[in-house]
Amino acid sequence: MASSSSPPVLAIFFLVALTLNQVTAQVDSFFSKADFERYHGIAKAALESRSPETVFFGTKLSKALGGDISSVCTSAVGLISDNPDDLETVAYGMGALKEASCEVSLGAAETRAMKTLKSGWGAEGGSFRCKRLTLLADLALGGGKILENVETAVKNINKHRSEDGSVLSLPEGMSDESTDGTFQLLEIIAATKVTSKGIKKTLERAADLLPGAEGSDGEVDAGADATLLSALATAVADAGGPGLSVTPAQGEALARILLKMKGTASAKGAYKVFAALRTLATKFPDAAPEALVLATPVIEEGAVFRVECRNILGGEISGRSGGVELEKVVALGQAADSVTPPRLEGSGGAFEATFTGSRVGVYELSLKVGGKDAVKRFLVVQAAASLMNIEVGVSPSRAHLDGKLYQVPLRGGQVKASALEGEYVSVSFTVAAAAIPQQAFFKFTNLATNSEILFAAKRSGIRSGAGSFVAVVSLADEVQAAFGHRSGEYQLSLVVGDVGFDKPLEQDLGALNLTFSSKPPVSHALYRKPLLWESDTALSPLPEIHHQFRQPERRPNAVLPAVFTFLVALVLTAFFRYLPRVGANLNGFPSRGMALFWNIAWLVCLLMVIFLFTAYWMFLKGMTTLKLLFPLGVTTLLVGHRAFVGKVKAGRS
Amino acid sequence: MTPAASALDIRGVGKSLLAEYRKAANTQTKIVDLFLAFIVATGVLQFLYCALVGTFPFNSFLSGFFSCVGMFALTVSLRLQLSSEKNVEKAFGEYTFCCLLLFFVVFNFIG
Repeated sequence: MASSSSPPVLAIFFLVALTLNQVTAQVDSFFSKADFERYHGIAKAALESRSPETVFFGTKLSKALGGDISSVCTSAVGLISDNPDDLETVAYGMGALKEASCEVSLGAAETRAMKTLKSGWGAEGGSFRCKRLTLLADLALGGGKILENVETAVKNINKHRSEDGSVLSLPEGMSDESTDGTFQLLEIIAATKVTSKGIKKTLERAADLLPGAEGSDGEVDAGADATLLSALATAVADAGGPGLSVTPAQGEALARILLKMKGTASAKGAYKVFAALRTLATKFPDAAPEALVLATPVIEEGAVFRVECRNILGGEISGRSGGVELEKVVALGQAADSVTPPRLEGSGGAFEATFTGSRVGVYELSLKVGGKDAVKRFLVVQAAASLMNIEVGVSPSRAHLDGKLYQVPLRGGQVKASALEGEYVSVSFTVAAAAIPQQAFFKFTNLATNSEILFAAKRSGIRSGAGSFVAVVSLADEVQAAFGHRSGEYQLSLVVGDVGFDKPLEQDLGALNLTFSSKPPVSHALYRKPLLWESDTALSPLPEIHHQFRQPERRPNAVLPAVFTFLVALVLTAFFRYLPRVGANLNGFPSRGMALFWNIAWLVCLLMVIFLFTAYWMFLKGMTTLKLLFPLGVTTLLVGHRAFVGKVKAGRS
Repeated sequence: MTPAASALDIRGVGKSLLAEYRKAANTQTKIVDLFLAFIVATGVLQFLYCALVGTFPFNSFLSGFFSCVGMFALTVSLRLQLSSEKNVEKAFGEYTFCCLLLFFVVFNFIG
């Protein structure tokens, strides 16, 4: 029996192996073309925003990306003119105008805007945020236009530091435990470019926030604000020097955190991340993480593979002094797992080597850049493969050759055969390939339900050659678990794949008619005690419910109703018969004149009412009857009244 | 008193009663009484049918039987008004109206 115990699991392995070449292709690319396009989209949307802060950072982002910022002048002037008394609007609006190099006049709003900015600095004890906005706006305008003495303003900020430059106290309303105070200070430092010896300690304090710093657990900034990280990066870059104790490893760690945050959707966050990454990549190339990209992750046998060294933004690093060294090559899943590494030739950021003398498969490459630790990349070597000598057999025993064999040409003919439940269906085939395939399956597809059943084929000694496989399926053993007693026509096929194949092999073998016994009834119970229905324990159909229709009433013999009808008619006849005897006559009925008319009319009305009742009984609806009865009843009443009045008058006369 | 003599007495009382009735009752009263007799006979026949043959359809039986009962009551009421020598036409008009109302109910229930 072939190892067919868990076909779905094997199928998953097979699919994973087939897609390995796609997985290995997903190597590091830090700032891809798609990222640039997305950031352009964020900048474009920000420029159309009504938020001054969003417009400001959208302008900076668009400018950094080389986008079009021609619309900023109009929109920023519009924002300031609409709300010249709002400090944030004016400050960010001024900043946007400065970024876009707009030479426009604010007109009547300029005076009020300047007044707003001056009031933003405020008196002693004013909001630190207002001070920051005013200072940034003043710097954006060239300095000294709002604040009479920028140096004084900076000193005002610097009063929060001690003489040696370390943070002495935080601005009002800020918690010492929060990083916000540090962030605000850093942002001003980055903007004012103050150079003093005291800045060192402040920056060192900021550097303590970096992962990798002494005493840090390395996870400090996993969820940090992009602005803070950007301020850190800018401050580190602007003040970088021998006196700053920020190691390249810390800078690299900061860059990696920024890369995780590049998915932000806000213009401010996007600009900060982009600017920080650009700063780190340009001013600290050694600190920026280099990405070794395997440009050709999948190659043919003996082909050339290429390694590219890219910077943090995904571009090539030009002018590198050192090369890339292929330190070690390990063949995964092969007996001789160590391969002599070829020498990488090239310069700058691109290096090539020919992968000769190695079989197909997956190789782990250990690459070293300069003196750094080796990084691992995976290279897949593939070759073409084909199937040969396919035979399908139906036999009474497990031995493949005991029964009837069907030759399957590689192209053209198909097998048409049948098998019973007690028989064995087998297939043998040879794979012509440079490597033994890791996955080979014998697939049954039910043509009625399209359900697929996979059986793993294993290496066979029937035929010579390492690539010979055989799969034997015992229909009796698999009738319940795999086939579910579903008799019918099944399509047979072979599916063979390996990571070393350039494409998976699938060979249609033809149709096979399988006959199974019927499915035995399930007799085991679901529960020991019934939860709700008796079927919980019986698991058998409940007795069929036969609807009990109401039995029709017993009808008497038709003669009996007829007899009683006759008797009633006899009584009625007797009634009319005896009427003249008791003196009934029509002498009182008027014979002429209006009295005759009214009396006849009254009788007609009575007959019509009776007829209406009969119609109601036979077919009319109740409401219809009432609608007709109302005018008829009124008419009858009036006519009867006239008839009786006439009768009374006649009696008196 | 022998049974034969008793029967003769009863017959004599009946004849005397009938003669007195014919003599005293006017034509209108006689007609009403004849109609009452017809109503009673019809009601008895329906009851006999129900007792001997069956009640199906029961609602029709009830309609017919109570129609007889209702008509009997209305007719007796008419007879009383005729006997009191009030306005005969008015009494007959009311009787007609009530009969129509009764018929409407009966037709509604007859099924």
